[in-house]
Amino acid sequence: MKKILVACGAGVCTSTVALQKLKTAMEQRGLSNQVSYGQCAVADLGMNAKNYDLVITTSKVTADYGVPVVFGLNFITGIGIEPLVDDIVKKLGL
Amino acid sequence: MLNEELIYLDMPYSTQNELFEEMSKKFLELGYVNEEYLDALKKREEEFPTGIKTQVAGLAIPHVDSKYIKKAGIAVVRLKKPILFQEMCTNNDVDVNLVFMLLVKDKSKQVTTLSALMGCFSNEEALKQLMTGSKTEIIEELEKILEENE
Repeated sequence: MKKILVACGAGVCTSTVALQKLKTAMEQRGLSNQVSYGQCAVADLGMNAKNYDLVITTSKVTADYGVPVVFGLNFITGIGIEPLVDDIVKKLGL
Repeated sequence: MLNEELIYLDMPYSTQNELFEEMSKKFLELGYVNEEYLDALKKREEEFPTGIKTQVAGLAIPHVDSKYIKKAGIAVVRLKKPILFQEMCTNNDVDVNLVFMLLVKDKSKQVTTLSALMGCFSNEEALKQLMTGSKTEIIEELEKILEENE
């Protein structure tokens, strides 16, 4: 089971939307039962990221959390979701 | 969540601060937000910018934690002249013409609506309609967007 953490400013708005789009994309690829999800505020990434395999954020972050970080802007604009999901799947080794 | 009282067209604001200050006054009068909304909004946008570049227009979705919101809504502010924002994720400059101020009271109830709204950001026809339409047309277009995407 791979764990994905989705983060935004407060862990409420854009991360919720990104998470929903990601879940749909993972379902379409038949990967739903191989991933689990978490959600938090960017400020809490330092504390939480180590418990996950990958971080997706809709805010700019520069810190090294010890796990791959992917920017989720495409989930919000709706443009380029497929290549973004390809990248996420690849980084997770699924 | 859609209401003509929250649609503002051809607003003459020239800075982000002016936009936030003027809109906060209106939201406060209409009972959508509390007194601390404005400060929270400014701080939030500075820390976590919400600008979005699209083919049709520059968009922004400024929002704050639900504790500052008293009544749920989506306000649409169409600007006479673009205002400078920073883009989400990249912090690059982006000229914004259309601002969706998300008044999120309960994220679990509103996530479908927000997700549907953001679903239109890749829909050029819908964005063009929002950029040129009247208040009534904008409400109709948004209703259509929300129906199609929910």
